[in-house]
Amino acid sequence: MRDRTDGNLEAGRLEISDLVVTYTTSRGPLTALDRVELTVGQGEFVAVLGPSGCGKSTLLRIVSGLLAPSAGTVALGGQPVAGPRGDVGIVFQQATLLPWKTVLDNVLVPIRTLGRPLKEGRERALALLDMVGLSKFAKHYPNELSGGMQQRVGIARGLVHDPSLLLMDEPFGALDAMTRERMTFELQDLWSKTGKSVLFITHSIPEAVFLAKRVVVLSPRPGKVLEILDVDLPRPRNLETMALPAFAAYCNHLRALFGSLSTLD
Amino acid sequence: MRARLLDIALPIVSICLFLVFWHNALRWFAVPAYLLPSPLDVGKTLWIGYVGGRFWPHLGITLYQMSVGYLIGCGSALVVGAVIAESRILERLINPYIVGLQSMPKVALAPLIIVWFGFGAASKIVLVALICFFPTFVNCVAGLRATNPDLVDLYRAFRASRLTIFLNVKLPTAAGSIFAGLQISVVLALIGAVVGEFIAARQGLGFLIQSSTVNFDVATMFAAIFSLAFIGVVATAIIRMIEGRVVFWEGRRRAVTVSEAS
Repeated sequence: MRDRTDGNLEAGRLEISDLVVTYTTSRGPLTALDRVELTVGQGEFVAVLGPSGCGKSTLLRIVSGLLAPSAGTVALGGQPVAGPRGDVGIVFQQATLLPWKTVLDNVLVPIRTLGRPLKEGRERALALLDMVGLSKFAKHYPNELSGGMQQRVGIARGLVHDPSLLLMDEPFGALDAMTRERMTFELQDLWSKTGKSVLFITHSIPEAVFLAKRVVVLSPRPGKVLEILDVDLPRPRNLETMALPAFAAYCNHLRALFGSLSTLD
Repeated sequence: MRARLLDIALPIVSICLFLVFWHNALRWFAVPAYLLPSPLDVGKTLWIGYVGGRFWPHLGITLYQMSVGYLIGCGSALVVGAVIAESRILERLINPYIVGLQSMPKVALAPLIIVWFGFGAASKIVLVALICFFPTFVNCVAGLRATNPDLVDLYRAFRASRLTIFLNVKLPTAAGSIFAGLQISVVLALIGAVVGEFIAARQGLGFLIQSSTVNFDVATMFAAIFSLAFIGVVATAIIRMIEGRVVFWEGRRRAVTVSEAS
């Protein structure tokens, strides 16, 4: 599954510099993101951590090309993002599957929408479903699946068109705690197998520390980069990693950071 | 299996008991036959009416007016609903008329429609279409607006056209809601046709009821009322069947709750 299109070795490199996003509301302009600097190297796993209302979802819409920045630049693979390009995969908090399509057809949505060859797409979709442990459910409908299984389908859909970058917006936020933990391990596994660049938005401190190479901490409105924390923990990370003093130290550091803001609800 | 059998048997038992009660109550309370006929008289009238053929043209014309009006009314409701849900500008342009017409009892327009479109089928079709329009329209717009914005974002991120998003995401999302509207409209269609026939017609089940009042022919009235009820039940069942086929994923959900309950 480790594949990279166009022979561009840096296709998955995301560079955001001086990004400002301002919305016009009835009560005047509202700055959602303020001079955000952020880089995701090819194949890197970067987590964006912040309280609610820090513009995390705005960031996702910017990177996927759905929203134009008010100022600053966003470049993916060296090319500025000027609109939807179809080379990012998106995984939402809710699985957002189409209930009238089978699991396989849901995974194939990006392939069909982008007009890519269906035969290869189907092979890839089945391989991905196998990786997330759902090969037996290809012909099932989403509402026959549990929440965790639905989100796995969502992840397979996010990867099926071989995107340069995978955007994940609190993907496990709607799952119960136990499923959430298991999915975190599975995601690390999937990431190491596919070698994708991942921008992972979350408000869970342990989740961010466990998964990411770097944690970008955003402040509440307007979202500013408070700190970029390099997480130097050996991989593959597992349950023992969570018991390491270093892991606790990283978490405590981040908690203290938010504590000093005293806005974390 | 036993539950299924009871599902069918119990309503039949209930109806039989009701008919027996009706038949005997007439004697117990000495109700004159010109006020309330016995179920046997109604049955006889139905039999003579349909086997003898007298009722068929009336049934046919009511069915015709109802279904053509229904198709026109609901068809235009879907088109206008889609347009309004997709375009804010057109919504603002059309909305005053929608609100105005919606708050007006459509039946009040019936005499006017008869004046404009004559005593024939055309006036009933227009009335039915007008009455059918709103439930389907309102549900269509609400359904289309209920589309998950994340799904729209997802398709847009893959450079999907507006039409693609409409056909692949919005319309299927709205389907369940649209069918809820179609269900309400089908009952209203029948009301529209009958009201139109009450006011001015030469044929139809509504006309049959109206003309039977002149000679106190209550048995025929009841026969016509039962025919209308039958049309209503069958039409609703047809829409429900189509809904089950089209919106199969919601039926699936419903089926689960039914089996959980039993």
